[in-house]
Amino acid sequence: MLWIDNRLMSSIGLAPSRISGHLSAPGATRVREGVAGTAAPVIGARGAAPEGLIVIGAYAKPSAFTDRGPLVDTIEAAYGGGMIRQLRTVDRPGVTTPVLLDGPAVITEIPQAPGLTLPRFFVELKFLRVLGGSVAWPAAGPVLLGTSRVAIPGGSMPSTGQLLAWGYTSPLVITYTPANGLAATTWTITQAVASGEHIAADLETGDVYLQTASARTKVTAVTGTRPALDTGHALGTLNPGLTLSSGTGLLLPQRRYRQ
Amino acid sequence: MIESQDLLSPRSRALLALDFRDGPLWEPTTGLLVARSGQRFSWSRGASTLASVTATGGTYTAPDTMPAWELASSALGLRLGTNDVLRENADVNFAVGAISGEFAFIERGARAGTAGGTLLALSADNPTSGVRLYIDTSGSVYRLTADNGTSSATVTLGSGAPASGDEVKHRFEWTGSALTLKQSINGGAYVTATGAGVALPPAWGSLRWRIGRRGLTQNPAALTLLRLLVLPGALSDSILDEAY
Repeated sequence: MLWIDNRLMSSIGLAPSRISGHLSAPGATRVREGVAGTAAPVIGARGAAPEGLIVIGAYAKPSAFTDRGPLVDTIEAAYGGGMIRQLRTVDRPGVTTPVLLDGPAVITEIPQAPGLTLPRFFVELKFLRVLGGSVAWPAAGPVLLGTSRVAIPGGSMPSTGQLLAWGYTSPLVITYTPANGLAATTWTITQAVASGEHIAADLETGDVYLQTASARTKVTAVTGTRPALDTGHALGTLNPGLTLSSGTGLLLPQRRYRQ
Repeated sequence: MIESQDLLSPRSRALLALDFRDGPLWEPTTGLLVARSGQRFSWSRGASTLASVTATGGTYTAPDTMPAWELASSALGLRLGTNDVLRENADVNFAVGAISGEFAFIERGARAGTAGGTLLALSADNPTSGVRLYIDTSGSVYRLTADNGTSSATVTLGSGAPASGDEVKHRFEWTGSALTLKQSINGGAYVTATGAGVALPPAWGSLRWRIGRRGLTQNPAALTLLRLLVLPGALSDSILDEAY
């Protein structure tokens, strides 16, 4: 599966069959072209695309397109306009790559068996990978958390931030639920809080502090996996979510920049 | 290239830039809030909660020990009730000179509250004498006062009454010879109050920036802090527009 701007390609009638090129690397790592392991490879590659290009081959669904004209119009409407788009594949859900549609789509009519009249098309799309610029996680303000799953705000990059919680019964179990089929993770904080107190967790380091009226102390009984807050764990328009075992919480996403 | 940043390192060249739109900057071990310009601020509310704070997904009541982070104008703001104390953790350390600034906040009823309720102050713990600069309310409009320890001057906005929930931007300037306060409500045109100032003091002394009050406990006011920028010199609006 392949998403562009968080929308499945199949939703506009294209069934991607191959992709070549390199996606951006996951957040907080440097990318150097051509060095094995530093750029995220993609599945189905048919050989290296020209530098900076990502080439996608896709079948146009015959139920959606019977002519070239509407096919071109659909592609231009969905991916053109000179706008930077966000590309993501299911095999590297944590990687979002900013791209620009580069040049016209190459459309090939697939030869049909004698007697079939419905034309079928294969589309080759070239995207230019965009480096530089600024793609930021929108720090969308505080998100209220509770014992029901709360979807965390959309963005373009994995995030960190603070997670505050109060009024819970120890241990507090924070469940992070990716939406793309990956397994949920849990983070357990064993620390009682009295009325008026709260805990503050640094999601970048995993450090957790208890704030009482008179003191601030580090909580040592912390186990499991801290929430990833990775929008690559979204599926279409469904975002990953957080659930508390009890009490109330507040997620404060931290904006990070792509430079 | 993608790089993470050291979130506690200064990211502003202003004299002071307190701004949480990119997320809270905090020092985990102490809980102090960190300005982009590097200064740290302490916060407390005493033994009281703060109710009806807006977040994505609903409102909540902030417990006694927790800053009331609020969703305000699609960004992160810090809600301050009249019991909240937010003040710089050390005395100001920049040289005396003309200063300009921008103070953005959400109106929470301070304007129509008790006269003297203070949005923003550069003042000592005892603010009844000595050098100070502050924006407070007359009970109906906001005003800016500069006091050099010997004499003082005040300029009062002739109009402009933000209602609760309005996003307000104040720009202030103390050059010595002049004192200016501008106010924009919800992105509207600035209303300006300007007048003769008083000479700048020879030294700032033990002054600290405070939001929502003057001194340790005096003249509290409720608001949601969005941004405070303080810069050296008398600066035009276009330069302030570019400041961060």
